[in-house]
Amino acid sequence: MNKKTIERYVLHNMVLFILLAMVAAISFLNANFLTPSNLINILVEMSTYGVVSIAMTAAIICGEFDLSVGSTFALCAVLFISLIDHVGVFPAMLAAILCGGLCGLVNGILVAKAEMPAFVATLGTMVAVRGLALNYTDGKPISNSNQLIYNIGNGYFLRIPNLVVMFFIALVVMHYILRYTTFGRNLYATGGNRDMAELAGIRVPFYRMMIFVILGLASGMAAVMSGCRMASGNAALLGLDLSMSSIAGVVVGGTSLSGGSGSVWKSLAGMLVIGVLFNALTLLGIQAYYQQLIRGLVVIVVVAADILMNAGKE
Amino acid sequence: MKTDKKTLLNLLCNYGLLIALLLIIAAASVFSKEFFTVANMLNILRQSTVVGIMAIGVTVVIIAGHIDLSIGSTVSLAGIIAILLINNTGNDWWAMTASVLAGALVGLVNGAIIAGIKGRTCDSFIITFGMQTVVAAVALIYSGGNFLTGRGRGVHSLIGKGYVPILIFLGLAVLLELIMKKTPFGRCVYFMGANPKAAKMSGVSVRRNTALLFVIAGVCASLAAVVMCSRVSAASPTSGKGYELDAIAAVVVGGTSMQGGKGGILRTLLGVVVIGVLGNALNILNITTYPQMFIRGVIIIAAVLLDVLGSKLSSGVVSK
Amino acid sequence: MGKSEYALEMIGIDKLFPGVKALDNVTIQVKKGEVHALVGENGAGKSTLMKILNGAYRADKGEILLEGERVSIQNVNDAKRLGISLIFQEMNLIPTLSVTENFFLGDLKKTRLGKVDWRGMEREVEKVFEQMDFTVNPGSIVSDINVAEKQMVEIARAISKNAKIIVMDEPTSSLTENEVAKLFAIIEHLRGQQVTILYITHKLDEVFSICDRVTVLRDGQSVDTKAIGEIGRQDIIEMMVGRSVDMDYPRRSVRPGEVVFQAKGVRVRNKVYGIDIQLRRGEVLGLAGLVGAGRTELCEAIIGAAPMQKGEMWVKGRRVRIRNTTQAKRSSMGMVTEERKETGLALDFSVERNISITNLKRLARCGVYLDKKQEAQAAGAYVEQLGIRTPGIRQRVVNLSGGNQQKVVIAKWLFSDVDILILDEPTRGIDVGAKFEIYQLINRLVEAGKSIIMISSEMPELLGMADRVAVIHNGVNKGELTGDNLTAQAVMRLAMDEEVPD
Repeated sequence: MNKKTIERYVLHNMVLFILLAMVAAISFLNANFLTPSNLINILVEMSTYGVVSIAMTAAIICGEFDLSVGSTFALCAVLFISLIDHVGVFPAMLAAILCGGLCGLVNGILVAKAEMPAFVATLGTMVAVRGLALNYTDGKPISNSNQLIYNIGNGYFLRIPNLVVMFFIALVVMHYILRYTTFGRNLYATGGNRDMAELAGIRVPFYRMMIFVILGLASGMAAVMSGCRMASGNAALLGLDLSMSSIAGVVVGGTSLSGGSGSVWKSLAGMLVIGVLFNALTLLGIQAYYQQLIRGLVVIVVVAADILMNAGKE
Repeated sequence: MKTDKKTLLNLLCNYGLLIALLLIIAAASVFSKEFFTVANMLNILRQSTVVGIMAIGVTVVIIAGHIDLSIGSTVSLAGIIAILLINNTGNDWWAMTASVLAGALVGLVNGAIIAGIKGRTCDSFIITFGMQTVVAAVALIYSGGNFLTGRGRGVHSLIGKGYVPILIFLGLAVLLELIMKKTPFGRCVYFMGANPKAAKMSGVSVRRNTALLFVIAGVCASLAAVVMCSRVSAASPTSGKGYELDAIAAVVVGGTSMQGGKGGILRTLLGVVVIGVLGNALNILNITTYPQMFIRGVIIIAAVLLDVLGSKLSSGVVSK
Repeated sequence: MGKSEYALEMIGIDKLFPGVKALDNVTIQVKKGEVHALVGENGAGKSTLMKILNGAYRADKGEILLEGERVSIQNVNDAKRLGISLIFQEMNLIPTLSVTENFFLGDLKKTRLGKVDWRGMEREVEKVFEQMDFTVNPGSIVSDINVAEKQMVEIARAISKNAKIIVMDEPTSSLTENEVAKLFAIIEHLRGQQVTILYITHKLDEVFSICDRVTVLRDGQSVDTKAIGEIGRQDIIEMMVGRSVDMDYPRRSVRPGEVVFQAKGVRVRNKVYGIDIQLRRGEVLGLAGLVGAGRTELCEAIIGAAPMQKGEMWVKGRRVRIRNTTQAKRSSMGMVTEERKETGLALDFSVERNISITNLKRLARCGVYLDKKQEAQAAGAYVEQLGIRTPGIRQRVVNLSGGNQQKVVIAKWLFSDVDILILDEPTRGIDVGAKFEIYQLINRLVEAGKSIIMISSEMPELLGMADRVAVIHNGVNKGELTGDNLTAQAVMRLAMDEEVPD
């Protein structure tokens, strides 16, 4: 084990240490923090955007990112809720998720085939898809009082909320993909060094395209989860914060924006840190606006640090 | 024959968007007689001033090869500060100045961070993305989340009246165009966008200029806010939300390349006008808000797509 | 077709690049299982030749034979399939992935269930490492291991892919003695396996200790191939640099004056370890050395384009602190970079604008307003003075030939009126005619009182143009040569850190 590996190990676990320190400090400050109901609350809040964060982890590993996940989320959510009464719960779920995949495919084609810069392409689809969602619902909130989805969204499975279970399933699935499949490893290679990956015979454009499809599907899934839980939605408000939140979780978790490395577990740690942080801020009575401020600052600091560290490597 | 085809494709890439939009405008004129009147055009111009002023400021940043997503939040913040100060001090001039200074400060922070980490385009994107959240939060904090109403009298309220916004907009455009085309700073900005490494090796103060770029974008955003708030003499902490997309869309549609080193303020002016006219035309054609949003997204994509395709053609990569 | 005694033959290879013939009828024959040294100055053509073998380039003429049979190598994959493996320094590994994963890149092993078989792959890697007596953990991330270990990994990878021909390009440049010994043991082992090795190096020690035969390239041509027992070190150096002077370098009549620039103890991380240099007015100081010796890094640090760990500088007697290129310019220093297209010019901009960028202040009336007429005049004047061949000053620089592009870069520094100019490989990729013009330009500059530091890998150019040559080797100034001492052999000896013969 050379020095660098040890350094890396400590850095990797630093987020965990921070998390543990935070938990200790907060439970000292506020008795309500360590109660099961509160902890479960944190997890449930985290589950919905967490699914997108997991997909975003894969995207950042591959060297891409996506601004339009929030709009895709909104579109899929309203689609889901509106279709339940027409085609039934599960077909509606399927439709919503596929819709997400389709939006992702459009992004993927623009970025991987037409070679547009990712942030402009997803900026454009962000606007366009939001327009679609708003148009579909005519700007009005919609809701559905279907009992089944309520049970799904708010029920428990072996004492754990269904949504959290879904999140963990997604987590484990993505972990497997990233660690044990050629597809996942090729994502790492593409993000690590695109040219070298191509030289090794990896079909880079295909992977770049697929990553956006995955993001789209994840947004769709998150939309379904949120739809089950809330049973209502306003296309103008859904998912407005989603791209920032999902990227924040990944970045705080320590995955480098330059690609080629990272893991869903790191992102989980990052998400927990953020989730715990906000929960704590709420419990300590800090206003929502300050929370937003802190979230933005955290992202900037972490990103700037990441860029500086990587600049040193070159 | 091959060169003809290539020239045609090139032409299409450079002007295709313009042509498509002109067609829509033509359709609108057919639809409604009032469309192509001076009164209507002036009205469109007036309504475009807020986005227009923002677009001019962000053009400078884009020419240098960066991007600024925080200008929408800056507009919100600057508006809040202006109205707050007008209400509290009754001194309109001071309120407006403070508002502009706030915008400059936001820009300075952006610029300092990005220059400090020697960022490239993707870096400026995520940093300003983060700042967007931070500045929006500050605006919410300052205003307590409330919609603020101003006094409705005084110098400030005059700014939004009549043709004053248009004059401010055009005046600013002319000023910035002169700066970009006729001063050493402007020339350096273009060079930095074209080849940042060569700029550095030629002794250009890349860091200092980078910081300045974002200050300009911030100042323009706050000027836009001043204009916006004066019309209704009120400000909301989310008033600028989403406007940065319109501003960037205007720049992109006008033909300034995202890669940097090309384009200019006049092109952005064109882009602003075109988008404004387009919006009006779509209204006349009875296309409602939401489909318009969709179209706006498509336009952004189409504009950049054509730009990317155009540069590939001219560098000889695509040999269609 | 019987089996030839030669594992590899490259016959009559020509390679042309725009403006320069990199390889001219080069022939090299390598016997099976031998360790064959390939020696030559920078730019002699070794890399180009190997890139053709590797599939990265395609020869314009000539053929390649493997064991007597003609083969076609169109791309890197062809070369791989034919069992040819090229090992550069650290270029071919993805830094964020583990050693094991790099080994199996694009070809991951799976278990019966379809899962990626990490343990199985690691075991295989360990096996190969054991054979090589290499102790790096296969699970380590590539960016964490040092250069020497990266090189070992590449060699191990080539071996595991059953490469029949391995080309090693400067394999020991970053290795300690211990590691070199290990490498040689591996090479012996490979020799026993009948693997053919092409060994590119500047270290004659190694040529004589491990190689069987040596081929010398010079100016894109193969000079000779000899068995190690048949020649001595001086002979090799002679073959590398001995040439008839076929260019008359323009004469100049300047005597170097007082010291205008001095640097002491310059250190740049991992590249320069304490260099002192001095530059006099009206002097051309040549910086010689092998690729990677640290000359460019030294100059970039001097000019403020890269961080200097330690070091002090004086310009015209005054102590200066230079942290960025703007400060350097203010201290009257500028640099013409090695890659004019990447770091010297804005290709889409006009000749005019590329020239004026260094001194826009001069054109600014009242400090603000750019005088376009003056700009055009100045640009026009330089176009004329320097003989820049262009349809006009508004022409985009990308459309100019290499030589003329270089002249534009030099013009821009003339416009800034710096007194000290650093030229990094000023005539690379430029045809003979334009080269001469640039030499004349350099003379005019020093005659006008300017001082020049010229980094060059072209021996004739150094000998013909420099008043003094400082030779850099591995980040250290090995010595300065001037007057009668300034010979090609002497420069080469210092550059390769060879002993002076008695």
